[in-house]
Amino acid sequence: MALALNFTGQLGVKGMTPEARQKILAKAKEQGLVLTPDHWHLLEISYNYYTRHRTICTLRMLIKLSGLEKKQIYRLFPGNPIGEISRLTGLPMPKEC
Amino acid sequence: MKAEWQELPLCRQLMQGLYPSHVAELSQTRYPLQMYEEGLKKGVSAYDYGGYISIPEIPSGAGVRTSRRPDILPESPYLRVLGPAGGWLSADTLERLADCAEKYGNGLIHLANGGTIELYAAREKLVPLVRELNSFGLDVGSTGDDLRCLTSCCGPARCDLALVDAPALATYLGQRFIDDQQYPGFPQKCKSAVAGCPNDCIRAMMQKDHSFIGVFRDLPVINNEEFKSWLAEGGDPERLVNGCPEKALKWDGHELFLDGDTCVRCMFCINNCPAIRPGRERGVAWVVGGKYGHRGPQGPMVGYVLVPFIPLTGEEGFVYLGDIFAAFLELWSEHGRRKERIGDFVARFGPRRILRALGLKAEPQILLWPKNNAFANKQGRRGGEGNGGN
Amino acid sequence: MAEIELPAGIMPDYRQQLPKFLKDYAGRWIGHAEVRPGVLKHWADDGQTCYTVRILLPPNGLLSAATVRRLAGWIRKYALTGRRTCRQSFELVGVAPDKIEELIAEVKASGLVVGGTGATWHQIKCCTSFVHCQNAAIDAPSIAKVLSDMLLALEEQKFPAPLKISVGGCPNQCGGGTDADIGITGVFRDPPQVDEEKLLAANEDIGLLISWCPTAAIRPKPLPEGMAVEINPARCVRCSSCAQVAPGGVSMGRERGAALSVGGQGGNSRGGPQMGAVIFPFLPAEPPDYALLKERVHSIIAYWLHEARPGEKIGSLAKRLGWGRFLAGVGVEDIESLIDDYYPARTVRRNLHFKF
Repeated sequence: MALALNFTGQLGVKGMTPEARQKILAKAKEQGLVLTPDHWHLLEISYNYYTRHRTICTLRMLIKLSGLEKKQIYRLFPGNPIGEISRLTGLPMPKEC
Repeated sequence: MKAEWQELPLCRQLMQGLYPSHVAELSQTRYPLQMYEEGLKKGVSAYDYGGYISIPEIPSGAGVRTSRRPDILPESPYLRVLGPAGGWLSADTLERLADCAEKYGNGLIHLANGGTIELYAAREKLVPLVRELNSFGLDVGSTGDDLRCLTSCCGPARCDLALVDAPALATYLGQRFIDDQQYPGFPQKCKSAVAGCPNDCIRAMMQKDHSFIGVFRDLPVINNEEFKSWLAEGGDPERLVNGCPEKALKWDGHELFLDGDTCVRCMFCINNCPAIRPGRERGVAWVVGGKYGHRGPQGPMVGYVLVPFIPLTGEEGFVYLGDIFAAFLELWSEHGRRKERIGDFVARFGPRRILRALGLKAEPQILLWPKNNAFANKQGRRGGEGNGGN
Repeated sequence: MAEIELPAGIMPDYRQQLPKFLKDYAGRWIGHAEVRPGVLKHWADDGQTCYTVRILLPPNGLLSAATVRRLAGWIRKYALTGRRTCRQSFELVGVAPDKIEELIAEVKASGLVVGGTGATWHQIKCCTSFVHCQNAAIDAPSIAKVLSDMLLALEEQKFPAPLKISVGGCPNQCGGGTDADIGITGVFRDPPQVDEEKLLAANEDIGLLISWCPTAAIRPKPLPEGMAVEINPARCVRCSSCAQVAPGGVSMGRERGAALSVGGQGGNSRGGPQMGAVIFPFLPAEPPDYALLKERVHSIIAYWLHEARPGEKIGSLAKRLGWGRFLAGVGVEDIESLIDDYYPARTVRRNLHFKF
């Protein structure tokens, strides 16, 4: 089960709280998204990165920390991966030009 | 019924005057001129900071502006079309772009500064619009922190000074790095271009984060027979000799001589006298870090020359240039700070470390003069060269 | 999950835009000349020629579908292909020499202008500003329009050297400015304002807001409700990066104007690429007349036309005369504001080579 996947990560911070997970799940449901373990892996990395650094995790960092390839991430969160992750986690949205 | 612009005093005034008016163009499309009038009137754009857009089929190339006057226009999505290198646009392509702009968009075609062509259409029209663009060989990209549209000068198809085939190299790089153009993932945008000769008509050294500029290594070639006919046609030898920034030309009243030790291969004489032609030993200089923008600690800057001459005779040499570009993009992605343009990155990280990390030799031509201090050189945080931390 | 259709991955091939003639003659051109304003002639090693007619487009390359079709029509009727230049003008390439007259007449009748080659003013390059951008401090297209009207009305169109003018609506200079003989850049005079309540509500990336500031003028400001920031106006250089990162809570002040620079040039001929020197750091830029801006640009051009030697660009003139004389000549009185506080080594003299 997806929720059982607990990211401990290289950053040494605690994973998401169960409340945070529930919120994400609810938002995903609203958007009709089915979250796979890979999705959760990226969501947790991003969430924990923000908790630690107070700035959103870049795609480059996401690739490094997740071990996934760029295009895999674009398949999991199509369009604008960083933005789509933020939309679920509630982290700040990236601003593009 | 009065046209919209007639009701808008500032737009109306900008319709007048001798020079062709952008408002006249806008008024022939479905562009909401009230938005523009509002900006002019208030001194603040009626468009607001970029809204969020995420289209699975278009990871890069689509954007949206939000609106400060949603009553006039709720939002304005747009598409950036990668322009063919050299700016070349055939009648067919122009007509199909016009068709697309009218069929899917508001009828406006914007030849934007970065080398892209912007079209404006509602969100739900963007994917069909991209598919139609694909059908005649165009595609989109150039938004977000990605490799922006590769541009070049017109190249040897029309120019007598092109030392390298700039549009061909730009197209090669564009195709090789198409994923970097279409899937943002860099620390910041990277604008890149290829100029065919040191005249750099496209201002790649100043505008672009990364560029290859055609150069020649031997000396300008003087054809004294042709020089005589140039004189006979009224050419001014004094102006030519005096205009040379290094005073490398001598004119004895009969023949023109070039002091090869003094010449800096700047193109001045070649530009001003058809009897002088560029040398035959040709290649590119590698320049990184140019930008007009005042963001980042360095502000606007001309790029740094990191390699003065890389031989290039034909398309077989493109692969090596692409390898350098790839290695450099990787280095910047790894060590660049978030939102750090390449010019600021080079200044902070150090040109020497970049050359070392890429295994390139520091050539004497890249120095204006040797450094004026005896400080130890920059190293990585863990003492490494070109790897390790910042 | 359904497989998403990803981008087609096409880098457009410029060769598709070229006629056979230009492909055949690629690399064979050996010379070129301006045969009349707006018309270039290239000749090849076998004597073959290629004529180009340059058309100045409406500011910012904003074209209606109708105008784009008109350009395409001219290519079909008179030329082989077309190209957009990097200064937002348009070239018809491969024009039959006996059709040039007719083509020029037709272009003129349509309201567009043939020109922008050689020693005259070239198309004024500018960004899109209030037409479609949120960042602009001033509106570059209308400034380009007004200045082009002024230049087109000048009796003398033959200048000592090419004159390139670029207008960028904000410090990001997408339209250029520092590259040009005369550059105009939209600038903000007031420091950015932070609206703490809005900033907190907007959920912006505070880390980036702080780290992107080039002068470390932004510091975190912890509030009971969350983390806000404060901006030290004394350190701020008005680059506007913060307003780009956190538009929800940081906004640029209302007082906006134009910085005017001269002597920028690209290309390596002569002295090499040179960034423009700011000589009027802040001029009011009031649409739609832009009276003062127009007056300043006019007086710079008039001074240049009067003083320059043949072939001398504005930057070279200033260098030959000495900036002191040049600045006096174009009416700059406030020298103090031209000193670069940010990078003193770039502008403050460190030798005793004076011109008085």
